Amino acid sequence: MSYKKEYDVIIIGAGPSGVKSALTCSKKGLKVLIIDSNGNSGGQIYRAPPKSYIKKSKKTLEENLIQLKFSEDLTKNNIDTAYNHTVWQVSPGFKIDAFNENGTIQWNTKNLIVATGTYEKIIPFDGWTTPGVIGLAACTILLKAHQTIPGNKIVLAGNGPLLISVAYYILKFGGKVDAIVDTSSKFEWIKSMISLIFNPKNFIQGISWLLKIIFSRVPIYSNSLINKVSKKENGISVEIQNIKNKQIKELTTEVLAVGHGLTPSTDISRLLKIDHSYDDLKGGWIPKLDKYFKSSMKGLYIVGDGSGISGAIAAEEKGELAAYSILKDLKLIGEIEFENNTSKVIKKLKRYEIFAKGIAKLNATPQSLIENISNNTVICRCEDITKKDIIHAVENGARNLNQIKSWTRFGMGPCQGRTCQYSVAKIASEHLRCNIKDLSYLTGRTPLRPFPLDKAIGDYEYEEITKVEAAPL
Amino acid sequence: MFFFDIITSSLNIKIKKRWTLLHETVNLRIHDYFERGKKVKIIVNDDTIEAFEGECLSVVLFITNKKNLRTSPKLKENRGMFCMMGSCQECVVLLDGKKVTSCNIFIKDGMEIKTGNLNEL
Repeated sequence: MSYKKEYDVIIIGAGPSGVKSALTCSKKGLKVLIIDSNGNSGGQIYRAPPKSYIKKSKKTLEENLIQLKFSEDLTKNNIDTAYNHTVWQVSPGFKIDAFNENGTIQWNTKNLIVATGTYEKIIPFDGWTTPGVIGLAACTILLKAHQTIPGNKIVLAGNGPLLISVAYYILKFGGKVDAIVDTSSKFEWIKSMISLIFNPKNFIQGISWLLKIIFSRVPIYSNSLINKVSKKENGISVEIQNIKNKQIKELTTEVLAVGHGLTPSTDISRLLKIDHSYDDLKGGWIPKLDKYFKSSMKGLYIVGDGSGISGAIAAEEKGELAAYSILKDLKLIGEIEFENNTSKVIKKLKRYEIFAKGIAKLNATPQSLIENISNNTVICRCEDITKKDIIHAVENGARNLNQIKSWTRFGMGPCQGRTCQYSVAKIASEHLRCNIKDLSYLTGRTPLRPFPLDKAIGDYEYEEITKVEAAPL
Repeated sequence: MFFFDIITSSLNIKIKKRWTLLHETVNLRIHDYFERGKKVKIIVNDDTIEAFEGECLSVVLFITNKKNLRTSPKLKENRGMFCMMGSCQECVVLLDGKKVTSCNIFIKDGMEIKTGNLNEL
């Protein structure tokens, strides 16, 4: 595909939110580019199977149909797509730098929509770095996109609706679930039902999944957590501990999939130095936005789960609102049309957000998970930083995440703290007996993703390189 | 619709239980919805393994029980596939001599993959 240098609107992330805003903008004639590091639209929730997979005619998965609709709509509306491109830098103005396997590319735009979604929050425990322990979200991607069951025997652990969804798909595809280890109690599930009714479609789907799990007689350990995982000859040994009576049960299995909810991906908004606020029910630190998802920086919008976790359906509404706001600013729709269009969407969004709050309560991190982390547990996987190291830093005077980072090297590895930032903050705030907000968040730094130097080196002549003037003496 | 699904599935499971007792391993690749590419061979360290063209590298390594991909910098512990969405960087391997995250690499015939302590290979 040949790209323009400049677009009216650039969208980072081709998930439900990004696609919806792209479609809404392009319908009024704006030139739109949508960038994604995956090979297709759909994001993580409707992740497309690899290119070489050919759909069989008879059976289809619902997620796959939605993804196909996204691709079709994007092509029909002549929206430029830059798949397999990883964004490694965003500068105000906006300049977007990305790379793919052929090299680097830069695009310019006045209106940037960041729809980078979310990543999984996983609270460490002894042995969580053992190969064979994967994220629950990773497990979903394996099942739905790659059409693969991760192992012959699987234990699922963590909390929230993803547990049920993953178990359902494993059973549906003919796999075996050894156990479901849920940190929430059954009572918490029943309590959350009230708000879940606000999204009847997902609610009914959830109940049907739950019934399938119950009928398949999968052992469910409520109010329990994973205490320890160790490597065995034929797989891994998993220690399940009841939170209340501390009873321990050991299981040998092949794969452990674990997840404790989602946290918004704020890499780009932190890099652009937007103000953030902390909201536990929305997944942690989220950028400060108005009700049309416009940030304090001119032309910058943050939509989807990256603006606070509220799920895929709500993500579409958020994308649409941001698009209308851009159209209004560019005077492509009038005040009245804007009000008419947005008021309906806002109403729908409010309903979905009640649903999301119910889910968020199920995903809240229980104190017991944090207390269960032992001193020698590795917290930062990239740099092998243990809980002991973090506490050592705090005891010696580190008072926010950036100071702990300088002290210990946590967050300096290739994942830049995406995997462990939340856990480190929890451990430190626990030790200091302070609010997690007081520890602030890691300053955004480029490159946003590890970026091989040979990709940056193109075939340049000396004359082509932009030279910076020497600083005055 | 889903009630029907539940009834058939619970019947299915009874049959499958007997089946899995006889054959310990289930086919981990699901072929009901998609046709995969042609069968090819890749080389992982010194072993040759079969896979389908275009499959995700990290997934193939995971289900063929080659779960140890890299070693951690300080403790030299084995690490493997973890997040599957290009965030955690734990699934790094050497592909034809270069470090790549195996979760966004797709199988081609004759790929040479090295795992282990990547800095000393």
